[in-house]
Amino acid sequence: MILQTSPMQTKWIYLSILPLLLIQCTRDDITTLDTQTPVIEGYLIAGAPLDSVRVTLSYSYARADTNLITLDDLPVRVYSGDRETMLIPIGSGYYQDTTFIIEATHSYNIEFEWNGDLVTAQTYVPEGKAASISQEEIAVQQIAAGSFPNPGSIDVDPVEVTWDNPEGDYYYVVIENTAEDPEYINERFAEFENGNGGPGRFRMISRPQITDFYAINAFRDLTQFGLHRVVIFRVNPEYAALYELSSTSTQNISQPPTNVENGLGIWTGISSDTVYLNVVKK
Amino acid sequence: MIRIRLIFLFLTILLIPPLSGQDLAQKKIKIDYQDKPVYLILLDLEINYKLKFVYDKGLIDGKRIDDVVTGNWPIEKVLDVLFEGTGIGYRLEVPNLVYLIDASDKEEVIVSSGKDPKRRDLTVSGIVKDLLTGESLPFATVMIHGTSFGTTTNVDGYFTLLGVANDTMLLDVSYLGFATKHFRLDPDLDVANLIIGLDNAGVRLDEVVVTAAEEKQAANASSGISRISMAPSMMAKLPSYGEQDIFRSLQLLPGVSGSNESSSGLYVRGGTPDQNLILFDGFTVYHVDHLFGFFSAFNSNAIKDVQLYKGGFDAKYGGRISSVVELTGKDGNSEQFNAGAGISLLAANAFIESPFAKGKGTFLIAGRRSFQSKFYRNLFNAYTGSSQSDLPQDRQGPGGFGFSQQTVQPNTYFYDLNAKLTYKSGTKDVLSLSFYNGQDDLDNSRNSDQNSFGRPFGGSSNLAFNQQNTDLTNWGNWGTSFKWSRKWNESFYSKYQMSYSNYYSERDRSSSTTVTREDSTYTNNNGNYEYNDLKDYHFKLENEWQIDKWNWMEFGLEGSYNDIRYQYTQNDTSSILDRLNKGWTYAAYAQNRLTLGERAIVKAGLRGNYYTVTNKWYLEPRVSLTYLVNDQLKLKAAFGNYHQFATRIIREDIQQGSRDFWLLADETKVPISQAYHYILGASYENTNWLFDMEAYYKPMTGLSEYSTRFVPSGFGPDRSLNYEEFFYTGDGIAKGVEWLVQKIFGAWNGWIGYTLGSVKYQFDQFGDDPYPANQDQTHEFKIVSTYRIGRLTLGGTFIYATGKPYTAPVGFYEVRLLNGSTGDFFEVSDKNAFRYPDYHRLDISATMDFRIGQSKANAGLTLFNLYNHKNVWYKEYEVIEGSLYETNVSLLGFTPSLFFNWTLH
Repeated sequence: MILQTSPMQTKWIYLSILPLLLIQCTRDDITTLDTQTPVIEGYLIAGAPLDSVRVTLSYSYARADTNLITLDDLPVRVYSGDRETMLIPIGSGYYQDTTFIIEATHSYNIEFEWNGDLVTAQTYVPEGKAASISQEEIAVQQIAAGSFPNPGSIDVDPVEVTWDNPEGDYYYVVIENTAEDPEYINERFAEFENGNGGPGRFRMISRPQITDFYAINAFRDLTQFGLHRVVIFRVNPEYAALYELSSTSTQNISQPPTNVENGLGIWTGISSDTVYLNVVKK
Repeated sequence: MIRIRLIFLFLTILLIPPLSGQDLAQKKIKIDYQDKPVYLILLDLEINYKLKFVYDKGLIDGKRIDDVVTGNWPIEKVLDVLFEGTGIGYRLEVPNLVYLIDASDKEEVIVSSGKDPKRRDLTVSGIVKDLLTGESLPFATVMIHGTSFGTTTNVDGYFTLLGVANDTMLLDVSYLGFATKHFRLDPDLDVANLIIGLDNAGVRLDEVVVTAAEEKQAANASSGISRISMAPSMMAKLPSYGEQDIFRSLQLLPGVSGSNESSSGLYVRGGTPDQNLILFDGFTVYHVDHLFGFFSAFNSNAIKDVQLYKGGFDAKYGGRISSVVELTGKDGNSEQFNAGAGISLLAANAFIESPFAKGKGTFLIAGRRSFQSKFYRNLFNAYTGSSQSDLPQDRQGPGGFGFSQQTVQPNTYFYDLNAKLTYKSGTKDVLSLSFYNGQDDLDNSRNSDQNSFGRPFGGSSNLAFNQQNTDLTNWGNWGTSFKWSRKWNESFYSKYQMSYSNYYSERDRSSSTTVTREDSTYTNNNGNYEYNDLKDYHFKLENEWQIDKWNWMEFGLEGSYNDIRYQYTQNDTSSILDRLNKGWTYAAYAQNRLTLGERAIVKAGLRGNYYTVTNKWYLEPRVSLTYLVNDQLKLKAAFGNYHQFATRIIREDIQQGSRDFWLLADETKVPISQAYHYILGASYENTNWLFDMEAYYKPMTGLSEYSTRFVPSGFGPDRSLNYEEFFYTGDGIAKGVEWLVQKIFGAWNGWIGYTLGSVKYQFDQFGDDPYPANQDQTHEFKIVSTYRIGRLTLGGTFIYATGKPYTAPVGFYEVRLLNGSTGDFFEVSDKNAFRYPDYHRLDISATMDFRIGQSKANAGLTLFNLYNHKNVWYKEYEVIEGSLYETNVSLLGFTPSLFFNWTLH
């Protein structure tokens, strides 16, 4: 079908082009940005000296070099109330001041200048909570390799570690065997581990949660005999936030959690209490 | 002698009941002929049914009919079937005359009635119905042939024409998907209660009409700006995932984004799906997705009419700032009982409909349910499997032996159910009750019994560990409405509606570890649980008053009460978010439509909303103008102000929580959104083609972006980590131009649409400069086409769209964690600084219509994404060995699908 144009129609065609001019054709320039943001890694443990602060630079997607760039020789200042110190760089991005002891219930600030911006962070070291354990010794039957244990014999009560947490803070637990050259509860594990670089000391770490107890089931959680040290760490919200899922997809990507201003990373205070559990052979 | 004969004749004439034109049209006849010449069939019909055929011998000479059989149908339907393919057309005339004409001349030959008119300056009113089923046809066009005056039927199918010149005029009655009928008025006809039946037998018509005369007393091309009507029956012939889908079909129109595989909601002119008002028989539908958005929650077997207003909509619609979709459900067959069923690779559907109370009442029930076919599982896995599964785990036993795992196979399904009951009491009142329920249940949970050693071999144990991982998403809609409409007189019509709508959404991603002993149980729960429940109670009174031929008023009242509950708990211990929103929205509106001379139509309206949460009034003026340059060319312009009081937050990544939830605006956290629409356009239409162009400019304020984050707050002993929601408020501007070229008539038809658009948001949170919104698509080009060869219809759609924007990591860093491991974190670019690659796909379908005995059936095949183009849905990032890796995730590749449908009549 042939469309016959009339003057009216021609006018209409012009009219239809007019609105086009109202719209700017912008083209988004896709550039990869070479970012250079300082990353602080600082853990302040109550009662311990300030000996593990690290400052590095974030990896830029645009950068071909995949080596970690550390920032050394920065004038890093840490202060708390009227105490302050300039940290001493010891290489590889690490800084310390072994004379500066961290005290609980104090807040600590870090700051330094980078590229014209003041990079700062602030944290509070919480007070350690006294933890108690329901029993200090537990007897477990050793399972010989190849044997088929009687269910009744591995019936052990969970050992409960408890503390007060009316504030609803985050805690996590580390269980570590202090025994040298420990024996395994289940000898099949020993065989397995022996074939994989030799026996190591058992270590188990839970994830920070808002809780006030931790149940240790000797059979499920422990693999060795020996005196186990159970450390209950109290951590701050900014640390617990690191465990929250950061999206890895463009559906829901966002800036990661950090309590550093003009920078990235973590600056946080931790306190702890220790109880002991002796695991013996039945 | 003669006198007696005369008396006899006189008495006979008296006794013959006066046949009105509609009586002849409603007359039912039945035929069953094998291999007979046409003239013998005509003779047979004359004898059996007292008809009189008038024709030119040359027209039927030598023509034979092979095989034809019908049920007891209205005469026009039977004649359509009888003469199909013979080139014979017909025209009915009171009392019993059937003029046979050459079918190709049907358009031109308008033989004058040859009668003298008795009445002048008439008011003609009546109802337009589907000839076969008796369904009333809403928004059908009734025009006075040869003039530019006409009107449209209202939602109940009623129309009124004022000021008709005389009672021998010819009316052109048309409706999408049906053959246009030329209805001759007759001096003996009761013109106050016409019944005009339209036939949809086998005539292929345009799928889409960009509004022809839609308003009362329109001057030919009407004031239908940015409005599109669709015929659900026609949509069946376009490619689909296997289920004929109305919303997916709407996505094929210019101005509506067609490149969203994971949402069947509509992105209209840069707006988001929650900015659309979706009405189904009067109740608001809050969620339109089944199966994560692969297709919509509407069963097209239950839907009669679809109207989409892309912008600039009338004062009677409120509460949304982008567009309106008004769905009218089928009332049910008022002529006879009917049933049907269908099956596709995804779901099975069935419906029954029937009249009762001698045709005064009708009911319809339609349902759909999915079944776990391989196709269904593929779609389900494509959506859920692609996200990482990372349920919180807090305990790992040493080694792995001694544990037995019993996993439960995920169970997923969806269904929907529609029911409607209609009763016409007398000629003035129509009562109807409508009901809808749809639900999606997507259960990906796994249950593992980690027993103590020895348990799997039977026997009892004093210890049992059970870990139940729940990954459950379910959502659904309930809706019900009651409507009473009354035609007080020819000029005044009212509709009163009461409805209730409930949308709920639940997302449970948690794991529960239970340690059972002889005498006690320890339970530890962690994970997320999210629950959103929205209740909407609504009443609406709409009035239409035709003051005179030039002047028409619409006015009414509306009120709705919303009760929204939203709950988010984590780790069973803390209820992180628990909000309860309640509020009333009252509205009153008035709109006047004025026809100025014969060329211009002006609509001026005002809507006032009162929102109890803020206790304020919100006034919305709305104006539109249509100017007819000539019979074929018209110019249009519209302006309107719109507010929205409820907002919907969408989460794309279901690992983070529910797909979406609703909140009421309160001006503190969640703002009231507002938009202005400025629209300018033109359209040109002739018999075969339609060219339409519209430009829009839509500034918006009060938009919200949502994010949640764990935020450490407070300091010292009072510090805490709160899960906070952040509602950022910002503005946006959407603007663009749409072009449509449509071929309206013929065996081959379809349309080409192109949209050039931009939508930019500005949120202080993301910087001072505007950034492209997530739904911004610069160019979108669509071709939709169907071609009919006999009983086979081929359909094809092609979509090409430039990529949408996204935010990507530009770097990463590592933090050593206290447990000895290292955490990797991304550094993120400016918001939406990048663009996905262009999206394009081609879908084709083939549908065959055939008969099984007297019932109708169709079967077909769809090939979705024919050349398997991997369209990027989103990107995933990983840090491996100090390098950043990017993966493209696509949703659907080449997907074939089959379907089969059967109906009794």
